[in-house]
Amino acid sequence: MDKKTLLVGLAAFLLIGVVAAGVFLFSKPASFRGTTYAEPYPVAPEIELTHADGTNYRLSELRGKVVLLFFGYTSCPDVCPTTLAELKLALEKLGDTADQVQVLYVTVDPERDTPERVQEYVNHFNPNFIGLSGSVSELAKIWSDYGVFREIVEGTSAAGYLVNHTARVTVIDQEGNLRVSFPFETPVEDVVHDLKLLLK
Amino acid sequence: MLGQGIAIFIYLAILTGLEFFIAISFNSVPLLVVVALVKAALVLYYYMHVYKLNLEAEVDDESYDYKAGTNRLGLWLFLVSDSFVFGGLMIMRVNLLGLSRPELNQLLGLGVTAVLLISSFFMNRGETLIHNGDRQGFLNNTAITFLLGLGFLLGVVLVEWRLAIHEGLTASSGPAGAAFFMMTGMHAFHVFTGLILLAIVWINGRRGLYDVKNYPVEAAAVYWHFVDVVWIFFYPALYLIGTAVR
Repeated sequence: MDKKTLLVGLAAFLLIGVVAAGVFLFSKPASFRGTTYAEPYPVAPEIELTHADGTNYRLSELRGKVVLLFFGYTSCPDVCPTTLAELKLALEKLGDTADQVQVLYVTVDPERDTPERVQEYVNHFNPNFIGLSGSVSELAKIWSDYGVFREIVEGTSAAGYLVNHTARVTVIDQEGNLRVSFPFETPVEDVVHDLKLLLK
Repeated sequence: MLGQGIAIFIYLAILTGLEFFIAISFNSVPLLVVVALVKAALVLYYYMHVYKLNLEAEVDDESYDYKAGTNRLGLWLFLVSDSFVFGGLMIMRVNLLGLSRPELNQLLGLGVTAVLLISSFFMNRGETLIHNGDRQGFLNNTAITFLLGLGFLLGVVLVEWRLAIHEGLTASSGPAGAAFFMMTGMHAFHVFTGLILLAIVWINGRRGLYDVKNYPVEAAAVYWHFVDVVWIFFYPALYLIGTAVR
């Protein structure tokens, strides 16, 4: 190999090395696309409710998994089915790592939603989703812990009344800390992106 | 000259491997673009010897060198105009897909890319050998180039396309499919044309038409390398950059 060709090769690799160094130095660390909680991350308030199968269900038992927490109700005409369908899609896109993610659906309408009814409802989307209900007093504490607004609107629907409620999905990490939340209609890609970051 | 061809081939092979590693590890778009540009520059200079456009003008306009010079200029003007076709396809891809790419078998993509790259290496050998007066060496290397080119063409059209269609990626399945089939199809058409040119120079070479006057071999070789340069950009654009979408 002659000297010039050797120098050209060295120059080529040097150029790529310089660009690579630049990419590493100036690229921002991967960041969440949802709304993040600041450090130190707040500990997710405990949720303890009776599940449809009769067992006592605790959020703290889900340590080690990423939890997607969403509040809604089974007579919900718009926001809840959309969000649950998108979460189902996000889990499908995660592929093999989806079993490290648990979707939790807590009702805001305990007067109509029994634990059985909520679980049956989420089964339509994905049988691995967990649906929970309980007494008004039990739930009232959870709603207030998670800052969930909830208001019954009488006589506005053929199916009885509607419930206005907060439509954010809250993401709890493997250590049980609040990390990210997504507003309604966050693109599925963004949800998948953030879940992948957490599952790394 | 043969040693130089080998050195450039080694550079290109390392860069192709590096490119693949970048794509599967941290997928930095600027870095992939720089690697592609470096690869293209190496091919343009060493395999397509673009500097020959700048050779001292021959005064005698009846001489072979003078005619070869004007032919060379015409060939490069054609290549420039042809690259607008591929440039347009590339812009289409960037607009339609951005930082996503069609869902394809990345190892298969690396495989066909390697085949095309190796074919360029043998093309360079063939061209150098006819310059040195080694007709048999030229014929052998051109034949190898032809077979590798045919392997690339069949690999893309028969294997890759069939796999993609089987996976539900068709020309009408959405922007990813449209970009994939339009880009690989237009490129494969050029590979096909290149194969015809290679066959012509091989047959004429066997009949003893080329000695020191071998511009047709040079033209076929430059065209062949041009098709390789196009793939140097299309390959990362279709197989490496961004995340896969259906």
